[in-house]
Amino acid sequence: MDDNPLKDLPDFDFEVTDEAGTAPAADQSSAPIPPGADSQLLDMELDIEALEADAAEEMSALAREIKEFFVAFVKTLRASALYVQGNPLLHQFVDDLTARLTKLWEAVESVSFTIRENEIVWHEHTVYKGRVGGHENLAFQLYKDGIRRIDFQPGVEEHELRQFIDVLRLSRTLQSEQEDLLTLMWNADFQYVRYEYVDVLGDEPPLPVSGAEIDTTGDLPMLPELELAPEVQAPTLREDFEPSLYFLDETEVAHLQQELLREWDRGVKKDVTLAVLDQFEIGDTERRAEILVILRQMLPRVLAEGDFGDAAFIIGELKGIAEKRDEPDIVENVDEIVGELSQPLVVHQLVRVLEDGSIDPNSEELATLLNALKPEAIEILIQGVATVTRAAAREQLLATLDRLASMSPAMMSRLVRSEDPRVAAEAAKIAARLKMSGAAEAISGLLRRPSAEVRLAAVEALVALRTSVAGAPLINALADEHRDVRVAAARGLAELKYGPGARKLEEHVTGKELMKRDLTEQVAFFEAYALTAGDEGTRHLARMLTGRRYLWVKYPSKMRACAARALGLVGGEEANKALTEAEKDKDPMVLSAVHATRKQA
Amino acid sequence: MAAGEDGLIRDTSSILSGEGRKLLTTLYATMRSLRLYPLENQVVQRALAEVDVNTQAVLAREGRLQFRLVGDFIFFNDVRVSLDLGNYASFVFVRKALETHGIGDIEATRQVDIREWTSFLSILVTQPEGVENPLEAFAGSMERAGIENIKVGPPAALVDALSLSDEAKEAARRTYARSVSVVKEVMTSVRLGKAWSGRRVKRVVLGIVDQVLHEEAAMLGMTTLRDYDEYTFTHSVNVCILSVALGQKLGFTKLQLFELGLGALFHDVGKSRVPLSVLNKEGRLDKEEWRVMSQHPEFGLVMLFDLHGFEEPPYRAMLTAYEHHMRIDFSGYPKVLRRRWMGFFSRIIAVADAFDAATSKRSYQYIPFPPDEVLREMRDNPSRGFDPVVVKAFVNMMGIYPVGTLCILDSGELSVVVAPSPNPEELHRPLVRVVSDANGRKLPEPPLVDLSETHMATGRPARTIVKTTDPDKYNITVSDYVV
Repeated sequence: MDDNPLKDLPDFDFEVTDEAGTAPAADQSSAPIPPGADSQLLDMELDIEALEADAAEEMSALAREIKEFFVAFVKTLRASALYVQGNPLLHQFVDDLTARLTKLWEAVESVSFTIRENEIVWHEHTVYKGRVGGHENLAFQLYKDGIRRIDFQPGVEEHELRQFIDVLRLSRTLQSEQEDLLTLMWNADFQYVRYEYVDVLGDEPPLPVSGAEIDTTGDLPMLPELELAPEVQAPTLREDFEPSLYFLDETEVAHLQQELLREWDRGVKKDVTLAVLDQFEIGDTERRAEILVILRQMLPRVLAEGDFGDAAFIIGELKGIAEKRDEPDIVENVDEIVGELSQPLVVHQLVRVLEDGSIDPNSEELATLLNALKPEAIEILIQGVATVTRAAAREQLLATLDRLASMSPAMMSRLVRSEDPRVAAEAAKIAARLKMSGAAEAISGLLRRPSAEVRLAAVEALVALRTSVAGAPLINALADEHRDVRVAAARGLAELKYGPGARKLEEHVTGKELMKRDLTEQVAFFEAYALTAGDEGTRHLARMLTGRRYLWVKYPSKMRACAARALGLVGGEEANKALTEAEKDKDPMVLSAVHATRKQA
Repeated sequence: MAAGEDGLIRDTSSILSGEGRKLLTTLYATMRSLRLYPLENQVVQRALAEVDVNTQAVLAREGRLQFRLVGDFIFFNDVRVSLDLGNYASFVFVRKALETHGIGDIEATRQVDIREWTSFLSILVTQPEGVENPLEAFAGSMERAGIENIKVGPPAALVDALSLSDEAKEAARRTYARSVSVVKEVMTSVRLGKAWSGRRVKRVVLGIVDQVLHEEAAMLGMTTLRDYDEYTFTHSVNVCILSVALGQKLGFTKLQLFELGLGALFHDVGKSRVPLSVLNKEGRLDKEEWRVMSQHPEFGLVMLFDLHGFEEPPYRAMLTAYEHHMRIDFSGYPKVLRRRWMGFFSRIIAVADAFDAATSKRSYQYIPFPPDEVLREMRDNPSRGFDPVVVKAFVNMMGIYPVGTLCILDSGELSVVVAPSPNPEELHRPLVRVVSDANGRKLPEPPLVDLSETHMATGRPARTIVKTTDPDKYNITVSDYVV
């Protein structure tokens, strides 16, 4: 045949076999086809289709794999938002993703995705479709910040996959004014993730003029050689080329490297602070007003970061400036700024940092800060004292509280009345420590509070204050429902030797209730009775020690022992007589108490 | 980074640049050890093994491995390897070895093995003796050694290698235009008392850093654009480009370049508070006007506290705005009361700022100073208060005749410097475009000429700069030839 039906078919590099499956020995693609070869032609056409189908199937398989990879990627991204770093579930997601990528590299050299507004595409296959308007629409997240293509390179799974996922996750939490995804990716400086982007942040401005518009026609207005004419010739600028003038030697290179390290390690905040303080000191009124605004932002921020050193430095410098310049408006400005440190929020931060113990403030720095505080800070500091456990910091806080309290007795009285039991109790202690007798009445009121801790603090404070108004409340406190309060009240009355308390004490001492109490409480009450009643109490005490309670029943041993101690405190002839009689007593507890009393005497 | 036809900006090659640097260092270490020790020495063997491992890694991923030497530049798989202070020594060593043998191109295939690298590098460290064509001799040695999978070639023509693609120029123009536009927007907002956002500014700086990293020459060329009316804005961008370019030369990381660029872009933001009547006054400022103008550093410090879009205030940018006129002995302004250290970034920006200002036409400076004179003044006059080592590095970057300098050649031709010499030892012989012939006739297609080219016969330079001159005398806009 003249017409070779194969002549228009392209050469395919595939093997054609006969029915027996034997491959031909020679190149068959250009061999003439024998007559009646239509069926063979059909077979060839089918084979072409099969090959195309194979290729398509292979492509589909790969597309499927890549799509599955991307689904896993999105799931991992979601998991990274739900689980904390280190969570085993998150690990699993990442491990699965890594395994998929490792497998993908067997088939492709890199994976490149085109980013559209609501979908992500790989070679015209959509691997991801985001919900329009959805918060988690990954395609839109990338698209809106200008990303139009992302390529993953082999090695990404080992080096940068997690970091990339973190960047995507973080970018979802950004506010519009901060970084965007593109700057985050740029900062991350990925080596295995490549991307293409368009600048979406503004209109394209007109471009500068290009060289295509140079006017190259015509002559120059003057000839260069005229510049070199003898009468105008300037000394030639061609100089003997001295490399040392232009090239850095090793020392200079080392110097520059050092300077870079120094710059990068520089305390930029501190240096800015120095600049700000300089400007405050040398600036005019308008400048100082601006600087004050800055300092108002700076100080709380510095404290919140726990930079006590910097905060102390600023305060110290401001005070120094006020002293140096001694101008009323500067003094007032400094006072104002420093006073703002005493705002509850700021003080709260200070206390919080001390509570946490995460910062260990140098005592001098803390002292500088605390010295700057004003009475407005007392309430927060009082709350803090209860929770700060570190001895040195607590001591400084207490010293500060004492200083502030002494500046403002009226505030202390107010704080004693605080609804907050901790504040009230601590305020009472401080008032007592500072002998603020003016607060006594307020402290007395605390004995009606539900909190035993507050009542106890009140009793101890009243005793410490030693004012005339302390007695009656202490007497009332003898009947308090809480044992510690009763004991403190009794001891307090004993310390004060408050005579009017004797009658009540006598009631307790001779009554039934005291018999049920513990020995410590009994001792406290008996001693108080002895010291308040004096000789007048001897009769009751002697009767308790050697007499009968009723019929032939004596008082319980503990009570009799207490009576012995009390008689020792009272002293005198009657007391001694009773103690002598008690020496014949057979009760060991009583005997022991009598002998101890004798010994002390 | 280059913009494609579709306007996409591609981030392509940081990994290759990094690989190139790593490989260069490995080759250097191996060559040095070959010079010092016998082949069987452990140090040598370890170094060779490392070469093998690194090259195989690259070949496995990229499919090819090629080093091309072009003067000051090394291209690794067509990506320029950026040099810095950390690898300068290794580059010089390797370059010298290659130049000795007349090699400008090395290419290896996937089949290369450690035996071939051993032979290749051993030959490379030997000195050719009295051969007319060292490259041919080298190739012969390679053949005798049975090296089949490494090929060498001559250096590329310097001019061809360095002429910038249209794509690169277009990308530089776009970045430049966007940057000026954003700076204008920011400074205008400030002047009008409006809030301004850092997000767009970050993008601008990021774009400039990327451009400088990938196409430094194109961006440096943009600094020759002198827009008198928009001086304040173009000046900020120019100072940013110059500073980042110098930082890149000094081996800054990307993040450091970003911080430097941000500081440079904002260094004059305080001028937004200087009245326009003072800012644009023709002629000298009186005492009161100078007092206002000289406060722009502290204005800048204060204003940057109001910048939104940063997680914390841009402290470093505040410092560069505040310090860039201080001078290294603190004899400048603002006055310093509390002892401080003048930052390295501030010193870099001070040099870039002064250079751009002195070479620009301004309301009070009708005739800008020639760039080479400015550099000389900065270098030779310590009372100007610049860090001398920074100035030296800046001159090294810009060349003795910086881009945009109009020069008269000994041939009588007039030319514009368009790029520093790629050969670091030929700083005084930059690349130029010849504007006119000796008769003053403008050339229709200004040719690009490398002034380090020599006459074949005599070996002497074909052309030499004899003088620099003022473009205004010739009604020439230098940026037309550069941009």
